Amino acid sequence: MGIIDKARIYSPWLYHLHCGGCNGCDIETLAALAPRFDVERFGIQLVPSPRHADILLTTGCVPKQFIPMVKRIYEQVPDPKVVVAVGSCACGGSLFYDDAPENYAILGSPDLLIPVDVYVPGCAPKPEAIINGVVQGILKLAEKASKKE
Amino acid sequence: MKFSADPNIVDFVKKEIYADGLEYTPLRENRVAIKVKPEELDKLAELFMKKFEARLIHATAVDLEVQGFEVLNIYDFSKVKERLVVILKAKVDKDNPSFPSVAKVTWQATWAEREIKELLGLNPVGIPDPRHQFLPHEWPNAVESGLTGGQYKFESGSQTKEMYLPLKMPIEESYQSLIPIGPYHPGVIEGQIVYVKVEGEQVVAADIKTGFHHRGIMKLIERRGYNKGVFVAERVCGICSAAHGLTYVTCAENLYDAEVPDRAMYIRTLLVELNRMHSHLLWVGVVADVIGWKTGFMLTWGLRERVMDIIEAITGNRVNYGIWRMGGVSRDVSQELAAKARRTVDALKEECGKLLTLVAEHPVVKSRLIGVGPLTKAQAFDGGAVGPVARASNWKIDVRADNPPHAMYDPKVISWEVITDDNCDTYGRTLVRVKELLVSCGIVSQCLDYLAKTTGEVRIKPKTVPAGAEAVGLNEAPRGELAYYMRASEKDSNLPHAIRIRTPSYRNNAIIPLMLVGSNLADVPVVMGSTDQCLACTDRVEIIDEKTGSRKSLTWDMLVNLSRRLSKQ
Repeated sequence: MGIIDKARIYSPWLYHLHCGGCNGCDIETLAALAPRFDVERFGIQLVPSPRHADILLTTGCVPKQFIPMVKRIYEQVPDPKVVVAVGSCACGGSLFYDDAPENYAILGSPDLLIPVDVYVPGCAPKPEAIINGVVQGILKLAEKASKKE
Repeated sequence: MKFSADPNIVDFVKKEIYADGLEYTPLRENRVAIKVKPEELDKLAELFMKKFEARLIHATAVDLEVQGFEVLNIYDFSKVKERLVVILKAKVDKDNPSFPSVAKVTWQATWAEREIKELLGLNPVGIPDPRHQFLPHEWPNAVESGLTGGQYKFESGSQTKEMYLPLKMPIEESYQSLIPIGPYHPGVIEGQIVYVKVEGEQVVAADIKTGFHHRGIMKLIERRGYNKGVFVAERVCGICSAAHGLTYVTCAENLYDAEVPDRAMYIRTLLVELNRMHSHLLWVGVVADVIGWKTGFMLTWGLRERVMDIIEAITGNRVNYGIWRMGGVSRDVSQELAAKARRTVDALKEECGKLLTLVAEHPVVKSRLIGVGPLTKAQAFDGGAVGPVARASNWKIDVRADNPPHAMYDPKVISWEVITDDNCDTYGRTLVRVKELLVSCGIVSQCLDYLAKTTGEVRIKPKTVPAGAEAVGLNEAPRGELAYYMRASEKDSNLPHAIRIRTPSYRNNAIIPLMLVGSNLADVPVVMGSTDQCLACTDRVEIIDEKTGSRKSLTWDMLVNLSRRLSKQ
């Protein structure tokens, strides 16, 4: 593992991709960054652009209008990257997903579009669970970085 | 507690407001449904809004299957008579589904009528802005249906994609001076596009496109019935989930002759006010972050965790409480818990008082917020602003006082006040929200005092919903007035025939372009944030029966070419 990969694992940057959730998981994700849970002590920082990110954190069931944007943002994140899906919606569509008749507005979970590495279930998951999910993501990131060489 | 209505309400409406309706039906809690001819809708809108200063709550439509459509205009007359809400109903033929647009009388109905046009296929004649709003551009289209495993392909050739043409500009003009902000932008977490046309640094025109979060929630509730629907309603928005839960049960309880125990009423008020506190603290934090005052963000989010602790102790959840039931609530608050929470709230109230001084006097806050995003009272009335945005323009409307939901807001029992401010800008909106925090602290303490002293049941079993009943439920969500309309099915007593949700952000987002004009480009995120946008709320939405004729304006290929050309420059 080179020095860049080592540095990446000690300060993974996170891009928060909101794709059509109810805002519940999003405020919990932000709460994880706020003083009580404070993920910045792990070196995790929220960045405003996907091009700077190592971890892509998605929330919500993907409405069909978001399909091109989600794919594009995933492609913008540089390799090696890890996707963490937060919340029941991002794990399987939750109550918005309907089989028969199909919900006309919803695609379902983001793993239909992009490869997801870590799933954090819960409606909404607590900030502790989200932090745990991101830490699992960091381990996967380390694995991917070592495989690259 | 039983909910009473004036027995002579129909006579009052006939005598004082409008006498020439085809049929008058009194609904529960001083709500009156009037059947009118469709041609009269726009004239009545003018009469109601000019003469009585009534507020248009929502314009929507219901599909009555073989009988056609029914267009509904819901007006709030609570300034004329206590709790009075008038629902105008006009039946429209399926063969010729057109009705006169109310939006040409008052532009606040524009979004609502665009929604009717798009989702039900009705044609509002004379609507000033008929563009598409909520559905995917390509809907219905097999490519996006998920059947292809998410392999999204852009088709070229004859099948061009419709795109959204902002501000009705010609294409050549639009790419010279237009800045599209979004759908993903660091200022606001959710997806939306705001187009601003700038001259130098100054915004001269603005337009907003929402609808990316369309999840078909109303259709889901119509399929799942009253009891399961409350959980779906809570997930319209994760921030104001308590407000959605309360409005849903208020509306559903108005369908039958409901009774709610007093203790449940206090628990409902307690939760909604705690919810308001955490939402307002969140908002102050987000705006502090946007203006670069990171300390403010950390401070308010630290306070917010203490509110979340109380909520978690009471309901067991932090976001979606799952406590709302028709006829009461599902969990009691024990006396010990109430006494313990009371001590936390006292400490919190002191901190919130300090926050008010800090926000009101802070030089960074003042320099970034005063005079930004101005909205006069006349503009607020015309655009149909609700909640803190309207109150910061010195317009005293608050549903908790005018038209209270099924929770304890009786001024005889609980002392509280409606906060207004005459700054008419983002600074005023900040002050209103922080002062409301203190009011909410007061309400929460009074509820906890009651709960610590008394005991009692918290739920009364709901009765069967009569066929074809109608109801309106209103509540003041943290962002403003939230309205639900329900109509019971004729065939199944467990299923609603139709449910319509009008969220506060639906109104406040529509007036953002108005506030943006004249402001600096750097202030755009602040103005967008100042209404406390919640797009998950705005883009919930309803049902569709047939493909509607949305206007084709700018093709996808043209837009791609456009972006390529811009990136080369």
